[in-house]
Amino acid sequence: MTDLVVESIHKTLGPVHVLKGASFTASKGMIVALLGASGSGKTTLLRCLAGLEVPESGRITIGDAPVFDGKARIAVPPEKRNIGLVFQSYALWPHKTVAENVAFGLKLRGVATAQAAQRVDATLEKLGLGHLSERYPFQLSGGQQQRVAICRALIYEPSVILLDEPLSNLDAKLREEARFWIRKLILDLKLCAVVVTHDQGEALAMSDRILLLKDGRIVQEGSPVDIYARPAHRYTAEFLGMNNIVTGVARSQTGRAWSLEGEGWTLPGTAVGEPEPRQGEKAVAIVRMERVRTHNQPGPNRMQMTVDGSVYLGDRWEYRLIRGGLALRAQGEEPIGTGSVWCEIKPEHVWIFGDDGALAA
Amino acid sequence: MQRGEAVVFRGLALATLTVLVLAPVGLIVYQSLLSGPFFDKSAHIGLDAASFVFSDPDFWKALSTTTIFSLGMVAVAVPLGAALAFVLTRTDLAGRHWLEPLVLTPMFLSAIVLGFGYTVSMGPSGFVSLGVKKLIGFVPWNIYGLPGLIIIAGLSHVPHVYLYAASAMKNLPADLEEAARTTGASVWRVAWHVTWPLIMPALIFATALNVLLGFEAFGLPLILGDPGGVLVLTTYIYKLTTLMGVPSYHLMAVVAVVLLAITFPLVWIQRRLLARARRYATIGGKGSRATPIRLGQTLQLVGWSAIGLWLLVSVLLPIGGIAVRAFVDSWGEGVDLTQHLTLANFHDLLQVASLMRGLINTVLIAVVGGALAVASYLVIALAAHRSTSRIGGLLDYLVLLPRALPGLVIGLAFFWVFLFVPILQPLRPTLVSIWIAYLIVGLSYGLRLIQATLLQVAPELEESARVTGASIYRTWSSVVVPIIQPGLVGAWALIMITFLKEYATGVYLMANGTEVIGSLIVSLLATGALDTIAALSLISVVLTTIGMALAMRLGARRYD
Repeated sequence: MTDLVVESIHKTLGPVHVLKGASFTASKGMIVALLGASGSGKTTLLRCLAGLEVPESGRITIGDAPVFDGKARIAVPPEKRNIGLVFQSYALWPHKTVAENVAFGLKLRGVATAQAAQRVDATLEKLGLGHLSERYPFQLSGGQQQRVAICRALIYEPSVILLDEPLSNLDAKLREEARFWIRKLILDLKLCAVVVTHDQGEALAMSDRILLLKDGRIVQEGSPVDIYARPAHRYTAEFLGMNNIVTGVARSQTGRAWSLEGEGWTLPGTAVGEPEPRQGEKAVAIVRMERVRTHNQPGPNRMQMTVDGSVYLGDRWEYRLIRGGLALRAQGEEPIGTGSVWCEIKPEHVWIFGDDGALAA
Repeated sequence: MQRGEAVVFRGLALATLTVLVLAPVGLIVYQSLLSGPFFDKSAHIGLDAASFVFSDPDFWKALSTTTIFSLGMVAVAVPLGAALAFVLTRTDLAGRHWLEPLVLTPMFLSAIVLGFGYTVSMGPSGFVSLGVKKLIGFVPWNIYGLPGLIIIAGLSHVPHVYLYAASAMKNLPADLEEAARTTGASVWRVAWHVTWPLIMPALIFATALNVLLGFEAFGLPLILGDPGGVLVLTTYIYKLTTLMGVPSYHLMAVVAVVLLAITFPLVWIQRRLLARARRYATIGGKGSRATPIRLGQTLQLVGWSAIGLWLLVSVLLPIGGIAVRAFVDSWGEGVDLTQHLTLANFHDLLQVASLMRGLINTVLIAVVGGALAVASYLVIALAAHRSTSRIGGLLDYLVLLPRALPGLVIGLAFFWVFLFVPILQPLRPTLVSIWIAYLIVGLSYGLRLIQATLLQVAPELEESARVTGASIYRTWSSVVVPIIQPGLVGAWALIMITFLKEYATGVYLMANGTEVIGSLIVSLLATGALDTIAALSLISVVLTTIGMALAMRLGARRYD
């Protein structure tokens, strides 16, 4: 069943129209990621779900109950929405111990003290915090604070758990661990979760469904694989991955097949989404770096290019290749010397979009 | 309106405050437009009272004296306060860390007590004056009269300047100065070209504040100006009662309105300046501490002598004078003090019921009243806390009104309110009336203390409680208040000191049974009961010292 339904939410903050009709749904045992650059409205959308901001119009339903309805003038305050929210800063109450922080939600719901203590102990134990229950937040490391914040948000079994940039305050190593265990925990407990993040890696690794936001609208919605490998919009293609972005003139071939031409080079490619390229007009091709292969001899879909230089990145090398006005970046495991290489890109990996000039990466 | 956001509570709290602030101010304005006291049936609306006051040469004299006094006080206090701040924050003056709390002492002393202290130590027959006269044959100073008044008031207001200048200097990012040093400027050039311009906003603010304090001053002009016939606006209001023989409320109200017309713009300018100063403070880099300027032996000596002399004149002499005076029954030329040592002054206090009540009431209103006041300020601050509507802005302006009025006038206005409103009349001879007036006198200071502590609570801490299932009231009681509890205790200590040293507010409100020490001293001054005044003053100093010790123990911080 669907546990969270969000329908065309509009929200202005002062003169800024932050959300322009965002809609999506989420259900139990599923993690939805709201992905977007800063200023895309993702945090505002999360705060609207929590009831910390009141939208101007739209509808939000949690479980069976509408918690916000612009037309029916319903705006349920945050405490009556039965949600859990993990804040970016964790927002642990400094005057309460770990156990008291976690128990507060149960206390508010009238759970008997003994029973509450039992549940708190069990939950803390589950997240490996059992020995810290009498500590105060300032005595904990960042990773421990994060676990406490998550415990606190899920102990009272909320209908929806919301996580605002849950990993941004952790260092890189902990972050990779955390995105794995948080996902596992949410799926184990069959929670309905919404995660806000600006980090594509986090969104791809943690969620079942990604909503890419731009300027308060959802640009594309889909599984991580859809979003990464099958962009339906130029913004999606540019936002995710490490990309080569090439401008040239579009030439229509058969069907969806197009090519992009520049001075002394031609890239065969495919039109995959909005905006569509137009015959003879300026267009862009977006090619994921990992899709560019280099070879020592010619072959199909290969083009001879000059090596401008190589950069060592630790786990791999990055090659800078040029041909006339065309510059590409590729990667490989070995350094390559100066001279020429044959660069192979399959046409289905060259995504050609019309250039409406209004988009930035 | 959003549900669950305590709209009714916020509305009620602020409506109550609005009534508490506007009722006395409104009554003053109304009274100023009547031709006689408001209880006089024959009084009619008109400008008679105003034209009477404006035709009184004494009023104009008082107005110009007040202006000269205020500006003179600023001319003394601002340079000294700025220099003191520079020396204590920017140089390596020996002992500067423990000097810091010490230099604030004058601001905790009641002006009426301070004034009395000067009378008994440096007045024509004061202990110090007589000692000097013995040595050189004459007294080289006269504290009565405008010049003496200006110098003494100026010296006692140095901490008010020091506080702002020092905090501006402490917040000044060290790299701004270091950048100038590396460009090749000497330490003193840096002080002149970088430090000084950057703390200008703070000094301008301190100047505006002290001009205001000058217009509101009452205790010092009453004691040091009055005997020499020097009247300022506040003492002019006070003297109107005795001059006319009949209650001349309409005339007092006119003067109060004139005062408000001068001070309200000052308060408003101050508010703007403060906002600007804050903007200024955000420029610059990381706030590491600057290396202090090294003072040589000579400069150390000069610094110590200057600060020592200032502390001697503005704290030690008056307080020492009171301490001596409280334990002797006679003084003057040719009197051997050792022959007159006595505890009788204190013993007499115990015999007079009104004086005993004064002691008890003062402690009661400071300790209990202070706690209740902090609770009230907390309610008001919470009512405006994270409010989505314009309530916060309204509160800001509402607070300015009592800030612009001297305690004497606020006390007078509440006295009228309790006379004027029939259902309030039974409260007039109780401590409730005095407490409410004190509450409004301390409003802007107290509210600022509480709001500053509330600012330290990150919004997510409250939001996370709401999301977890707590109503807004539960969030306040379970999260916000426990977190700011240390700040509340500190605020209580500071409000306690403010209430302990208050003397002007009770002058009119005080009734049989509701005496407070400060106002008792004011009324005793007319009778010349110096023995009693000395004993009361010493008790007041001791109480303030206890309050200060408590405040420091509780880690209170001043936020103004």
